[in-house]
Amino acid sequence: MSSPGVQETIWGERPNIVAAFFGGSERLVKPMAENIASLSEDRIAYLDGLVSHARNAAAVFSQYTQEDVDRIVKRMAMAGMENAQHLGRMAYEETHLGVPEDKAIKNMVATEFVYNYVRDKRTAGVIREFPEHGVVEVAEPIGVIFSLTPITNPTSTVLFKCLMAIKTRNALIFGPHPMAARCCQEAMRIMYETALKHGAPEGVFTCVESPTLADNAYLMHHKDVAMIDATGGRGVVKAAYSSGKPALGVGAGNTPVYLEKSADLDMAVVDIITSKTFDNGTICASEQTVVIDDEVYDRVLRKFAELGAHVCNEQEAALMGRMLVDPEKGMAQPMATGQKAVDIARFIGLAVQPNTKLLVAPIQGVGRDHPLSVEKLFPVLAVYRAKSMDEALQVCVDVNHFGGLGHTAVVFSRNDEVIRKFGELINSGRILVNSPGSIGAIGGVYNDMVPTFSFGCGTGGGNSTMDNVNVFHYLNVKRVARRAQAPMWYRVPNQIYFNRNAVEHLRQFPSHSTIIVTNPALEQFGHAEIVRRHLPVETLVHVLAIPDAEPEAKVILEGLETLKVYKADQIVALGGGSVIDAAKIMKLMYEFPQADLEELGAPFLDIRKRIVRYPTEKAIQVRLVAIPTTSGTGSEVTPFAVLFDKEHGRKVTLADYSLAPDVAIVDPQFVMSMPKGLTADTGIDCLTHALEAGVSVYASPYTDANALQALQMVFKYLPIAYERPRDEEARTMMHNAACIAALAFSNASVGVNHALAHAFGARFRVAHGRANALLLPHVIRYNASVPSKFMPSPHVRAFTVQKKYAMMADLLGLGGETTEEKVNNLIAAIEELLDRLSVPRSIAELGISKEEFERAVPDLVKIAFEDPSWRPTNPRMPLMNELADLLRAAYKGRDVPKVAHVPEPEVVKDGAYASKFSVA
Amino acid sequence: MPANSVLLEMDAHAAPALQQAIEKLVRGDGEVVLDFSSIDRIDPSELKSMDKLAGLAADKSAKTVLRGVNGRIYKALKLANLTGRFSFEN
Repeated sequence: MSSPGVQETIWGERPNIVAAFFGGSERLVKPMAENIASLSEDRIAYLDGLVSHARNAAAVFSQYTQEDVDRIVKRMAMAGMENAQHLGRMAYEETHLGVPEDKAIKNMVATEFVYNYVRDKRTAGVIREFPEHGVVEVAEPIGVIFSLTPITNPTSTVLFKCLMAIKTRNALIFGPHPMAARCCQEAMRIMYETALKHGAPEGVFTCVESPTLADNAYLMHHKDVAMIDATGGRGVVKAAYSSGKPALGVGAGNTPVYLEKSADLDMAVVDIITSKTFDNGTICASEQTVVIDDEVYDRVLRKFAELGAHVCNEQEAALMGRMLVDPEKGMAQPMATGQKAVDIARFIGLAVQPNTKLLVAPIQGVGRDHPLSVEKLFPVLAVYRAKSMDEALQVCVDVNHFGGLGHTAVVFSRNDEVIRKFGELINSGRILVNSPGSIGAIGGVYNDMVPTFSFGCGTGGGNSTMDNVNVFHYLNVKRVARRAQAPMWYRVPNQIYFNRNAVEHLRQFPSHSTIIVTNPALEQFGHAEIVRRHLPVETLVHVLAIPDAEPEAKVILEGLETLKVYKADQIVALGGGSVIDAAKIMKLMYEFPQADLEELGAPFLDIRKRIVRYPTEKAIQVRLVAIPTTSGTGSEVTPFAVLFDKEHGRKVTLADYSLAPDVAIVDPQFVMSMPKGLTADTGIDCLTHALEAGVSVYASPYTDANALQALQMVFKYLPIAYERPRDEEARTMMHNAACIAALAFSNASVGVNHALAHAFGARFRVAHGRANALLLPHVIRYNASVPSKFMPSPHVRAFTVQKKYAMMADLLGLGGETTEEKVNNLIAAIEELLDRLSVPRSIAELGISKEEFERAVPDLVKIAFEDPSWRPTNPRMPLMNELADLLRAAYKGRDVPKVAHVPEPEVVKDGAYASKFSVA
Repeated sequence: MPANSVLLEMDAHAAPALQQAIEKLVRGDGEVVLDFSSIDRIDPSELKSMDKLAGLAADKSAKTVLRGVNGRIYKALKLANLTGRFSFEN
């Protein structure tokens, strides 16, 4: 093909149209600006006019309904079918490519099959609804689309794109391949006139007359062109993407086929011949190299020969490689595109039977040294003999990466494992199994893929999509997402026994081996013995006394060892929060030996969405019974456990409902001798739980019932329990209050008061309740003020926190007319309570110097910000500087400034709990 | 509505009223108010007329007010880059 003279002689008067196409594509990319500059003013006015018409049509079209477009599309599809043969013939006569009959079939597929796919698709207005997710998808047309169409499938592509455009209410400007312009214009005319007749807006389709590369370049950059849809060669696609416009650019391929030994060989050979000779191989999804297992290679070639293929010998194959592939460009000679096998054979001087439909050429490798391994859009098929499946797959991958990435691949096999491997290894948008490539890739004929005439090739092919392009690529899909009312929960242990002698219920829990986890003081005090007495007589009991401090990893591991040695089936945690927390963690490690405490303690924002999952597959089952000996932490019912990280001097909070004890026994006999200081500290912890859970973003009617009840009980009974420690009623009520407040915060969580108290308490070794007390009045004032940042949560529907504090004041009978007065009264009442409990009222009172404190503040702020206590439940989003201000206010102590007036939210009556609270 | 305003109510076919409005502007009759209340959608020729109307109004420095334009028509005018050339009243 090196001599132009030979070309003219062999091919007759056929113009070198395909060469123009390929060459043109490349030219399009390089001198885009230069191309545009060459346009005359008249030509620019003409092109601007096309765009203006299309823009107005798109604007008018935006008003149409689904029913409007469906009516038009149906008529267009019918018109396409009626003119399929006429357009196929015209395309062939203009391009001299392919087979007129096949082009007619393509036109039919482009109309009937595409219509069948889109007919029931919603593409205007609301297109899909997901009521369970509160999301509605609404179609938004793209506007003006500049569409470049190829020479190989000119009319079918135009018919296809016209249907898609009308279905999606877009206007199209066609830039047909210059050598297929007449047939494209005719296809467009048929579609346009039908569309107009049935109500489409004038100007919805236009076509550039006598299109040039400069025209294309100008339109690709036009401000009113919203998208480019380029179907064609690599150059066209690259130009579209280079324009800076959103583009659908889909182009060339190089289809590998693996014909595996288990395949139905007869079907495979027929399919390949059908596909590769369809329209003389012009469909870019057609087979290019067939890799055949050695065991069946000879049989397959015989079958090809028997069905009308000419199987080349080595010399003939070499001749084809030399003649049909440009050695410099490494691409198939365009002159051969879409030509018959016999004509190609005649051209290269190959003697074949007159009815030869396919030329089959053995190759020994893939790449530039093996010319026939390139894409060949004509009926020449390379074949490769593979000695093993591994070799076959490697060669297919090589073909795939030699110009075919993302496009199409085919495997013939009855072996599912082979098919799976092929699918994993090959990078193609369409991996077709036991079916022909070209017709299979189009979709809707041999499979249920989306019918298309534009094959997206993904990033491997430099494309923005790997899909079979269809109507959904011609749409902007808007999502109308309703505010979700996130599902909430209320999870508590299913067994809580309370009041004096509740410990007697221990008898009902059978156990072979029980470990009582407690601390040395309680053991000495005889509490452990009380518990032992109430266990079933047959139970083997071992007492494990651990230090009375937040547990360290060492303590947990020692406890775990004890559980294993005694093959425990029950743990009774008898103690304050630290002991119960230790027992929870021991249980976790015992039941789930694979649990990684460091990982489980990782920070999270929303417990439902956190990264780390707690294990669920138990190695062993153990019952945890929690018997609190203080009235504050509520650990007997909470899903939290705090571990002290000695190495870093910080507390690690574990949170998961699997940590919650199975049974809680809230028996006041174990707190009757609690010292005054501990009574105060733990009581304040309980108070803080109730207050923080009450204003939490996660607060619900369920948790409020607990929080408000506990609040009232604390105000009434904590001073009595503190001042008259032997008062059994006060002790009982405070013990219950602690448990009830914990039920609230187990589900609603707490807030910044706890976060800051955790950080400050760990750093300066201050008891948790006492640390809470130092911050409490300041935090209430902070939460009740208009936030600098609201907490981003769907649960926040109005700024109701001030109203909620006011309601708490009302419940406590604190008086006040306005909301802010009530909040100020609540703060004052809390301060008064703290004074009665004789707890330090400032950090300074603890003897911490200002300098030491200030040195610690930056770290405390960081630690508090990372603390899971406040996320995302505190009623306002704390900023770092605000956390520092709160710490500094606590250092100073008293003189909490008054809460200012905040406009009250209107009562919302649609079930929004946060807002409804004010009318409770 | 100013004294020299002319209110043109459109029925299902907007074209005659648009033509009338264009003629009034050509004569320099002052402000034109076009009532779209009974118009559901506009077609390409009406869009073209409105483009012409906007041009004339600009030449004559006359205000053209569109009254009762529904959302779909407003969006079509927006897509055709015409909204900035009219005043709107609801």
